[in-house]
Amino acid sequence: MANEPARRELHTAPPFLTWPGLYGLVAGALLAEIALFIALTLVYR
Amino acid sequence: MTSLDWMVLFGTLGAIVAYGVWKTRGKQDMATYLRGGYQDRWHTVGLSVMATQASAVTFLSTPGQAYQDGMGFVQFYLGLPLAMIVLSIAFVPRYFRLQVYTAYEFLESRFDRKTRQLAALLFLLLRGLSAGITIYAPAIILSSLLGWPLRFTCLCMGGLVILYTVAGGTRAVSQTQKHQMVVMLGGMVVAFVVIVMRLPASVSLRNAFHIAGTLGKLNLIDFSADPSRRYTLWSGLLGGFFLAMAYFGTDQSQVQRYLTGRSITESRLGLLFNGLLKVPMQFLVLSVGVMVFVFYQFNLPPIFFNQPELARVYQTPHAAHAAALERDHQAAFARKRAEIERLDAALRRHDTESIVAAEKSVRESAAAFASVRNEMQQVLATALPHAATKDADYVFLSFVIRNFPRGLVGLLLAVIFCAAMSAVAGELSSLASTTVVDFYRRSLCQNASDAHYVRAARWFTAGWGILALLFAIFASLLENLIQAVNILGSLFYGTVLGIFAVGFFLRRVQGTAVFVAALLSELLVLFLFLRTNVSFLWYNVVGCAAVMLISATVTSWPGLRTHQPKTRRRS
Repeated sequence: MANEPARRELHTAPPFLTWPGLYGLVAGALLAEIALFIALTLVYR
Repeated sequence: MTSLDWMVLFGTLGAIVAYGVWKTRGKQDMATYLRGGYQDRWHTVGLSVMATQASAVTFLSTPGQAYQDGMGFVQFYLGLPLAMIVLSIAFVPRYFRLQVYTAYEFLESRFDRKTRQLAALLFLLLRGLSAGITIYAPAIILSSLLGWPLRFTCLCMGGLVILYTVAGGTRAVSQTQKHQMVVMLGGMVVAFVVIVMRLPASVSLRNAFHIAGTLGKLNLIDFSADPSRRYTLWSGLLGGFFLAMAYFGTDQSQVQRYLTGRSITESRLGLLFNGLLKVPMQFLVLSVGVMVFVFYQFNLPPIFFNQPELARVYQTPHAAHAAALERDHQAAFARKRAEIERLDAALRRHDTESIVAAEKSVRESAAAFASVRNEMQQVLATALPHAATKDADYVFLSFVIRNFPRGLVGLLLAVIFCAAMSAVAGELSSLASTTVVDFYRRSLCQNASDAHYVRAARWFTAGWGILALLFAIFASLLENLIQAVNILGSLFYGTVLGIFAVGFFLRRVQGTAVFVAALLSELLVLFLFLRTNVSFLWYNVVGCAAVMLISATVTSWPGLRTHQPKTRRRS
């Protein structure tokens, strides 16, 4: 049997766990990190 | 090691273990022992996921890698945050809805028993062997540099882990990992600050980075499209994404960590927490290595960081050659240091012309310095044919022992012990749950009581722990096996991920098709490994894509689609 509370929870996901929300924050942070790494590589070489 | 260091080391480890055992005292049922009773908040899930991945080698080898090859290794982790997003959206809800104990249960509910047990068996084989290496790898370095007996070090690490993992199960693992991860992160921040403070007062942090960059250590991003290059932006983003999907989505040692979440939301938040923190953490650990490198531009480093191995050269006929090289090493260092001080002075004056000229001289003197070290490695290889001539793993700990103040040596050793123990605990707990759920309860003893399975899980945890400990103690006799295990892990991950991906995303494909596709894909990955020089990160992409493509093609052939997808759950 499927887990009913888990199924219900999926239909009431908190707003920050919808796109972009936290997913966007994680993806945005990754982009910012890559930009920083590229800058460091180019500046200090 | 001073008595203060011993107190810090044993105080930290003892307090964390005692807390874990106390927090999980009392009677446990199967859901609590194997799945943590769905009690953990997101921060516990996130720190626990990070602690399982961060083994002692992360803190011993990674700074040494930055010291010798620069910071390019950070690219390995660039696909991880994206994988955390996909896992949160696609994998976590499915596992929770099916109320699985292990990831492999999903495979039977979707395909059949043989696919489930094949994936579970692969996990047991690879993770079972690597648990021993997780103990052995740091123990050999600690015992070599600190003079501790190897078996004592293995027993200390492994014994404590077995104790609290058997006693408290998954929940004890999560609770201890949370605190162990805090010690690890805190310890590395302290290490970074101490190293920067040990640089000459005149050298600013900015100039320290400039010096490191001049000598090629800030090579964070490589845009090369050459598939044989191990770490590039593309292999990190794409290959790293697939590797992280495989590791966090299908490896029970990680799946078990986020199945302890109080709800789907808490587990998802834990994974996203890992996605946010992982890259900065690796950047910090690599930065520590780069700062050690800058420190050794102003202070004479050992010509070879594995000093006990070097000492053995002096007991051979090559002693005179080694002594001459040590003198050359000191002279080359003095010349290089003078050039670096000139560069630092030019940087402080913001004199562009002098900076360019000094950078050129620094690179030339660094090349001369490196050639003396390379010659010593050749002497070492000739004098001691079976000796390890790579010393990257010894750089950081050797630096800590020589240069850290009293008490902080103990803290950094606690970081290494915490890392080893948290990784091993996660492995033992997941090995036990897979053995009990996917084999013992599924095929050997189907209708026993809950208490019976908890007892069995305790015995299997202890059994896997003892096996790992024996492997660690006798690992020095099994060097070839260790290398084989390290390679084998990367050969199977892509295919296993492919099986899960088909299960999640290709609803028409059935068990036999995916089974055949997995075997063919594995042959393809083995061909890449044996016949090409494609970097291992790409195996994950190829393996996963091949399973999906072949199984979809096989399914579309007439006569092979036999029945509709199953939706019932078996366990």
